[in-house]
Amino acid sequence: MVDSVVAVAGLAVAFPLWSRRPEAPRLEPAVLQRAYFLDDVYDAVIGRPGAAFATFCATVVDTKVIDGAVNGVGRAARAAGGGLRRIQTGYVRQYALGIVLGLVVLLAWMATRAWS
Amino acid sequence: MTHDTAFPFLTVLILLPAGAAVVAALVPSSLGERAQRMTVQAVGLAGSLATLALAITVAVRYQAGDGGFRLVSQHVWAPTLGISWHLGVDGISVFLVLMAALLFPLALVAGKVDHNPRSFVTWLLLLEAGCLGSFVSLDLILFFLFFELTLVPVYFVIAGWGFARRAYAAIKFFVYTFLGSAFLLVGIVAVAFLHQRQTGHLTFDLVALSTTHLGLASQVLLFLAFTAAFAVKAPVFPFHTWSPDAYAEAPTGGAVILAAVMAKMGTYGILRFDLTLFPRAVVDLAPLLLTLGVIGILYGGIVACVTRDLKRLVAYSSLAHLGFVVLGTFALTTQGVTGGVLQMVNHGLVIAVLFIVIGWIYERRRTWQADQLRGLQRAAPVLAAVFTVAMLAAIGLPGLNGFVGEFLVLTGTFLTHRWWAVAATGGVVLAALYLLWAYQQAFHHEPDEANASVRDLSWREGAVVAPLIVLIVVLGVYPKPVLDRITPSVDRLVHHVEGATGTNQPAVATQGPPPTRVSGSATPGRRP
Repeated sequence: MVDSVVAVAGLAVAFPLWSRRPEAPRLEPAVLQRAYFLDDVYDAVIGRPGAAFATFCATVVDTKVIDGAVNGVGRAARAAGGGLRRIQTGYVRQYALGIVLGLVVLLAWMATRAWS
Repeated sequence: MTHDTAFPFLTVLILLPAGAAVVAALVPSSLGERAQRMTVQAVGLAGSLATLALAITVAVRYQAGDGGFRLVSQHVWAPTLGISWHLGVDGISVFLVLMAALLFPLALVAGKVDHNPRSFVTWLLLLEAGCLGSFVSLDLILFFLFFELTLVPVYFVIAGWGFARRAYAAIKFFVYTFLGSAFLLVGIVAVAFLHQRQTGHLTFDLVALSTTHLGLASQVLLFLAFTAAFAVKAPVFPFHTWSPDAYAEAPTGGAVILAAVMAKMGTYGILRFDLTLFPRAVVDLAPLLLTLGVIGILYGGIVACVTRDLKRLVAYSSLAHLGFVVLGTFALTTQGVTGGVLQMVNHGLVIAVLFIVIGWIYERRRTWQADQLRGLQRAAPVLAAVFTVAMLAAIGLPGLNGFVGEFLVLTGTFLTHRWWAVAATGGVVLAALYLLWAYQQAFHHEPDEANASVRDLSWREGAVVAPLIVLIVVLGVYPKPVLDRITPSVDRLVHHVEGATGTNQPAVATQGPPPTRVSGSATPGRRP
């Protein structure tokens, strides 16, 4: 009963105010003009953080982290090759030295095994 | 597993494009540039259309029955090494063969080839032989051979006819996939040797190897080795970063084949080889792969949202769509796997249209950056309409093919892995977001000066996309004939996994009573 009266009273007040023109700025505070800020809330809570997160994924996670790791493996392989290339001098003396050193290490290892 | 036909359909299916490639390569330069271009294109088109006709014959002759392999041809090739020329199709591969055979002639004519058409056509035909061979091989070494054979033509197509960063993209694609394949080769050899130790018989035949008894630890290791190659090829997150580069830098024809056909070799490989050979590892590691699939769906969608380069956007959307295929596969239900297989075909058709249309936009505007395009809908309404249909299919609008596949995948996954399915649903929303945003930017509004005079599709261009658009609609409205042929083979595969692991999918997933099990072995397909 009371709510019907209130609703009819509201209609009676509103009808002359808005029936001719759909807008009455002096009667509409910002909260109404901006639809209770619903769009702004969505924008602040979902839109902007979502866009920021997506940009972060695209520019940092994908290009730097994932693709960085992929290209890092490639660079590491190239660096390892570049490093190992220096050993391949072609000097038989150096290769002989390498063989002797390896032999010493191997013998030392076998000696420790035999001793224990 | 019988020779049910005298004519070796599948062998000819592979040899036809390979032979056409040889003919195309032999067209002499002395004809003059114009005549050579015409001749080469005629050879390419004739070869690929003949292959398509043969593929249609194969699909028509294919009788699902119990879902086993059909049109089998088996010949000893290298007996001491246990390698055989063993080909066959089932419901899982037959539509991939058909899709590939349809897309190759379109890829040949979809984009302008500005130089050296002879090499381009030759590489593409060779690539067709490799792709079709991969889909019908039932010998692991034979499969590996075709799988690897495809890399070379694609490398040359990207490096030879690609865009600004083609050298980087081609090398990255080649090395990345090749590294994955190395693991696959080790895995293949290991499986064969383990089989030989048990049976004293060295063979690479998939059907024979599927009876090998492997411990869980070996299964897991071998599964990881096989899946390394397939996950890179598909690609599955996080092995995807070669794909935006390769798709963006490849010429239209190359991008179409890479994304529509070759990506399926990865997901097909998982289905055909992982599920058949390593069922226990598949069941044990399903949560891992399901998670990677869901991450791919969401992550691909999120990155696509902020990508304004249309070709790269399609690459990330592709990551998301293949995530659905992975999801359906590892749901290990008949519905999920069937949806995954259908989604492979759907994705191929849709992404082909998208790349072809983007290629045409580039031919007109010299760019595929969405923020440099504007109002194309006004200037080129038919082009916009074609793009819209493919886009809506990619979003998964009911009535178009994408919906059927995604729906089956999601329901099939929900039955066994509820929360993965719930998370994946978010990907559908993201797809709408990034595709509609891109569409709005490029096609809506009043066209500015540069975009106002964009030419609409010619009749020739319309004829290229028409069959794809028709299939997108037909598969969306009436997918039953296709599903009826896929399902028995999927049923068979799922039962194989269940028989090997003692697991059971929920009865509702097969729309029938639960299988009655005799001494732990899989029951044959229940469908008549």
